[in-house]
Amino acid sequence: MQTSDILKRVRRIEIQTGKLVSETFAGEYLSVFKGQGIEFAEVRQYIPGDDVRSIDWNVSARTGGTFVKKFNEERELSLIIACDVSASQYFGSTGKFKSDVVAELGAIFAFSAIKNNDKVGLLLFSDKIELYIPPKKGKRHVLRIIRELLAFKPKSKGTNISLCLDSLNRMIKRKGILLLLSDFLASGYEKSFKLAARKFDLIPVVVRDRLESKLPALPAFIELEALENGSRTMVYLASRQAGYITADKLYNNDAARRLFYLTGCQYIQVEADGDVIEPVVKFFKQRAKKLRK
Amino acid sequence: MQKDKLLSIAYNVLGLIAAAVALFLLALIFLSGSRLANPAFLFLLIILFGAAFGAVLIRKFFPPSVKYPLGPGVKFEDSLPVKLAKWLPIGLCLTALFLSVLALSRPQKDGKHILPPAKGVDIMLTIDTSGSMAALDFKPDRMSAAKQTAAEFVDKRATDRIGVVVFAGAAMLQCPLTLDYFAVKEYISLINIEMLADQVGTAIGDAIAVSATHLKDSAAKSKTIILLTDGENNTGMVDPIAAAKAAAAHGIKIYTVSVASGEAADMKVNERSLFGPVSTVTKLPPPSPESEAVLMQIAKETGGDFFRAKNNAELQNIYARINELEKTEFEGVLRLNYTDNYKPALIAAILLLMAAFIADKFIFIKIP
Repeated sequence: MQTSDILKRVRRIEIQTGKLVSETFAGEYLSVFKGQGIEFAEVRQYIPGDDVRSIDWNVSARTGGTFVKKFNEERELSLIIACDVSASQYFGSTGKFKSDVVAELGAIFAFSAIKNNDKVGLLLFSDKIELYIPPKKGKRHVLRIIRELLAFKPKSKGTNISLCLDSLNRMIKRKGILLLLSDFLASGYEKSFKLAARKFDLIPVVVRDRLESKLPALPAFIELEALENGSRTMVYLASRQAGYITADKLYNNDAARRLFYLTGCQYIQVEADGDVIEPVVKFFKQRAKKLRK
Repeated sequence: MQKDKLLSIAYNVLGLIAAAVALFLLALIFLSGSRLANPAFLFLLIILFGAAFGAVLIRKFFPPSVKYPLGPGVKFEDSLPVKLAKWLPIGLCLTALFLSVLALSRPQKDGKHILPPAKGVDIMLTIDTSGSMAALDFKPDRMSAAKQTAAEFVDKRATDRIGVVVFAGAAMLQCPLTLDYFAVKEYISLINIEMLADQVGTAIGDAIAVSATHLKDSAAKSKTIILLTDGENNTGMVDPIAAAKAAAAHGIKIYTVSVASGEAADMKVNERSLFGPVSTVTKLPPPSPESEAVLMQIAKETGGDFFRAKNNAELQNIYARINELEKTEFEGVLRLNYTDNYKPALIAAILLLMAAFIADKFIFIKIP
């Protein structure tokens, strides 16, 4: 991809998501991602109506007046976008690769974060850590993140989700939001996932393509080449065998969902050929409802 | 893992070689008893084998494929339909190419051996077609017996030019001297009594003259007339003996054959009557000794021989003896007449190509 192309796409995503962020997600982002701590801000005179429990007795005794403690929610969050850039992401049956969808989603979240003055970091992983950009603020930083999302050329093909999560568990000391964008076509990441779910506000974003859950039953033979390890196999599409080789079956998609449920993580499911925004909006709404309860 | 791959390559190579050997054996069977007119084209087989090897290797190890997030280690054993889909079209195609190379090398079957011409004798079969040849003392009648025996005689010759002269009241060249025995026999079969019906009589002298005319300029080492008749010379412009002498001057030998049972013979005569054609049977007297004496003299004058045939068997014997007497010693190169035999291979190649196309595009549809 040409540099000018990438810049154009970055610009387009910036405009699209910028609008989206200021209109659609404006309130939701803020309300859904609450600050994790409360920090003391100031002491001020008691006004009738203040909670009696918030009166700071020590200050009141020292000064003779009635003072209440004022706390601010610790707003400064860091959002880590962990993106799967394994070879299986470079697949798409409807003109859009899953990696493109991932880039779009990453951009939406990055812009939302920056709008609310949060830090954004990026981690790209395959079966190793391909790139890590520590959380920082600023528009330039976000644009860089988007550029990397669009143009990064991974060196490795496999997927290792647990390596990514373990590294983040070790690297990030403060609690934050962890957005895990992947197709979850991997296995053996359950333990790390549980640990990460305890440490972070972990939001799995499952990006899938339609052909991964079902191959069309045509009277034809198809020679499939595995994206991640290059092994080949030929199957007759109308045969029963074809039902067993879909990505869903092979990677036990249900197991991933059960894991999300068990760890209490709300996940976003995005189809590569469908609308990218709508699942995110739905997610925000659901999450807001859950928080209000 | 590496060892497995090497082994599988080795198996493939062995299989390919086995298939090639099998094809070569088939080709050998097909070509047995044949020769190749353009054997140089067989060198194409080397290229073909190389191409086949390459095609199979590419099909095996670098097939066009759809990239798909398949799990690690998903590898199904190829089922029979999958194997067919992979290998049938390519196999049919390669076999068709092999067969077309075979057809290109022009296999030819050995044909009939034909000896070089101009080594043999020129023989003029001079046959009487006068009305008396319809006599029934031969089976089925004199004319038919004479025709049949003459045709058999033609079959026995190999390198001699043979012509046919027919005569009754006049003589006519029925077939000029030729090596085309098929044509000669055709002309013999066309002889009948009516063909010279308006020339009544038996003009032996004219017959000899006409026959001699067509023989005299021949360069053959020996020239022969076989004169077959059943009667005496009773008309014509040339005296038989004088004609014989003239023939002898040109080095022409005359064998005379008299066909008559020697007794009075029945004869069917077709006549036109008031009520349409009617055939009546009349008695034909035997030929006079004088007429035979004339034939004998003709033979003597020219260094030939006189034969008297009283029935079919004797007539056949006589021709057999003449055949012996006029034996030509031939030596020299055989000429082989080859017939091209590429068609089976070419037709098979075309059919296989069509089958390959149908298999590839309609039965075993492959993606991509």
